[in-house]
Amino acid sequence: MSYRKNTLNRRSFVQLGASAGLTAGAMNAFSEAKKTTMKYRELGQTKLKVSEVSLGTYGFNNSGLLEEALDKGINLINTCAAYQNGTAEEAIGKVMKTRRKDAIIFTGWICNPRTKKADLLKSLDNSLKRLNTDYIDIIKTHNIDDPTWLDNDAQYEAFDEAKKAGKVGHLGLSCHGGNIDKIILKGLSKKAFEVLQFKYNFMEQTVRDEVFAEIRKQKVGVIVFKSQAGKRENEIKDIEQKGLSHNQATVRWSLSDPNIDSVCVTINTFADIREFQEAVMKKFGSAEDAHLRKYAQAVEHEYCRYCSTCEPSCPHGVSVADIMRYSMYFKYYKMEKEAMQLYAQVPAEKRASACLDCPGHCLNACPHQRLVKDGLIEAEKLLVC
Amino acid sequence: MLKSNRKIKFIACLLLTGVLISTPVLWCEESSSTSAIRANHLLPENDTVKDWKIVEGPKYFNPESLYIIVNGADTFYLNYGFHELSHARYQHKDDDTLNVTIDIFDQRDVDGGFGVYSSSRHPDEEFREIGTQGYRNGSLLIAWQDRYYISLMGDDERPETIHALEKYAEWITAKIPGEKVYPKLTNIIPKKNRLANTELYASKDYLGYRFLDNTISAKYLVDAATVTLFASDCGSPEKARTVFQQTAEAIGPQTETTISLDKASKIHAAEDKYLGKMIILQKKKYVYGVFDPDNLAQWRSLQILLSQITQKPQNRLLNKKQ
Repeated sequence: MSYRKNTLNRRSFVQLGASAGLTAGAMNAFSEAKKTTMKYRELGQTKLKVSEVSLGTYGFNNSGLLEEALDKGINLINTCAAYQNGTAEEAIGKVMKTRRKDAIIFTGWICNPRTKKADLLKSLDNSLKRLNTDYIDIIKTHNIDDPTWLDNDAQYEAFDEAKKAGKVGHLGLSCHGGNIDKIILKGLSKKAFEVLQFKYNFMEQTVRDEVFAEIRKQKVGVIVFKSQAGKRENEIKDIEQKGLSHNQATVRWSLSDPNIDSVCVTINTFADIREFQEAVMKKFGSAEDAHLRKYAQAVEHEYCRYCSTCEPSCPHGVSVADIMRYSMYFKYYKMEKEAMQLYAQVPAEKRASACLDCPGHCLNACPHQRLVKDGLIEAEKLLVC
Repeated sequence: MLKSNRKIKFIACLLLTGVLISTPVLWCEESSSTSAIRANHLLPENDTVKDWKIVEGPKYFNPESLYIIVNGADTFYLNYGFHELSHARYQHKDDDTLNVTIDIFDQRDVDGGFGVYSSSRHPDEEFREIGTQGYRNGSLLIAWQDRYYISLMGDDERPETIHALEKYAEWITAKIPGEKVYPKLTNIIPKKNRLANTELYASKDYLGYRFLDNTISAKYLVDAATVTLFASDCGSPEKARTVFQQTAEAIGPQTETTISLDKASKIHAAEDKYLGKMIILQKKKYVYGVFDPDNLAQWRSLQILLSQITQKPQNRLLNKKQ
């Protein structure tokens, strides 16, 4: 029942990294190069052949960029009715007038525990209109926050009705926050979802081996996102090596896992398209493995999640999460003045000055093995005039 | 790294000392922002709307944790300077099916707030002065004021829900101090023939080009065609010359040679694969452009639109309200 890994040292990073060459070979068996510029995988048992990288469209408003992506063989378009109040779908719809056959549309509706079937069907009809199409390949229940949301039968009833009407092909779900494992298991238990989309990357394997086994057993398609695990520019600049770029290495890492059918990436520029397209065509090698390891090392122990888990261990009541956040503002966001102002507002007894003479009660308190005291002392030095 | 941090800290100390002497404590001072209030102070409390209470949250998200609530969309908000999100769900105390979810995004400055807002704004909405501007579309009410992008979503369109949406929006926007202003860049593009509510602000990567940042655009009616005009503030004339060159290379070789504006302005006219007829112009620290994706407008009409840039002074007074 162990998680695949959460930290660099755990089993699967090594396994995946070391076996990348082997998995690449196996991958090619089911990867089909329809065009020389892109590779494709079968999305579960939907019979859809989706590009290994797919287009994420939050904030999207650039028709030219979508046309270029389609020209380069990126055929899976991830969107949602809720993205910018529908304007992302509208921008996609402009291109769909002439390029519908080149695209697999993966859009979403919002279904919280209180949503009714009629709301979902109305949302779907609005999406069809904005997207300039009469058929959506995959409709997903978007952004599931809690497994209990999947108990709302409205989503299944709405999907069945829409499918009978010929408006949709497959049902999917997406989730990203906590409880990903539980949400997926619950989703699988419903035997209704054919596509899953969730956050998954080299730093955070949010889904256990057993869950992936169940996904495979049910032949459900998998699209992952947040493959970059944040983009800590400073660390990337420090450690980027020859070979793939950081973006490319993270995408290739995900694609080296045969459980994953497509990696959803944010594409803002024509250069991004070239970069991700190249990532698909390249192999994940030892240089990239080393790069991601270094990045993970740099980020894993440097990077406070502001979860406050460590705070109860401090007998002084130091406001760890707040202070680490202000330290981040100073170090990474070029907000030195604001960070120091904010720190000045922390009550004196809760500041990190208490750490200077402390033996370190927080030594083992961080679930991510951060050295909390060191970070606090650094913050105290940075944030006090 | 340590030396570099010491130097930065020294400069920040000097700035901070100046601020502390001259002003009360501010949350965040921005040259183009008039607000100085934390987004979490803008979240309504219980009974701000009579009989409505908080049932989820309040929760707060910073740049590192934003992804937890907005999925893969965090990059979008971060590109517009995202600073903090305050989130809560409200419910009527006698009916748990009446719900309103409020998200207040602090985008650091008016450009960021407008950038996020303008990207979700459809010109056909019925706009009202909720904050600087806002609209309601069914059970969704969106408002923008200064650095704040405010989203209020009801579970349905029942009168009680709509009443709560409106009251909450009114309460939140009333708490934001300062004048209701548009980004300064809005004032450097022509007003004549500009289609209402089509202005968009892109902090970076306009048109998908990594070199086109800090850009305002709007749609114009020319020859019965809808064309787009944009202006990028490159920071300096030298940088603008470089950006102009990069843009010219990206859209392809000059195909139209009959167009000329004033002698001081450098232009390039070509047919872009996706954007149709396009003319770009560099003047001072700006790169301007006009394009016609539907290829309905005449070259001369695009030229006339763009010539408004070269004929008018660049430093017009700011338009406080549009």
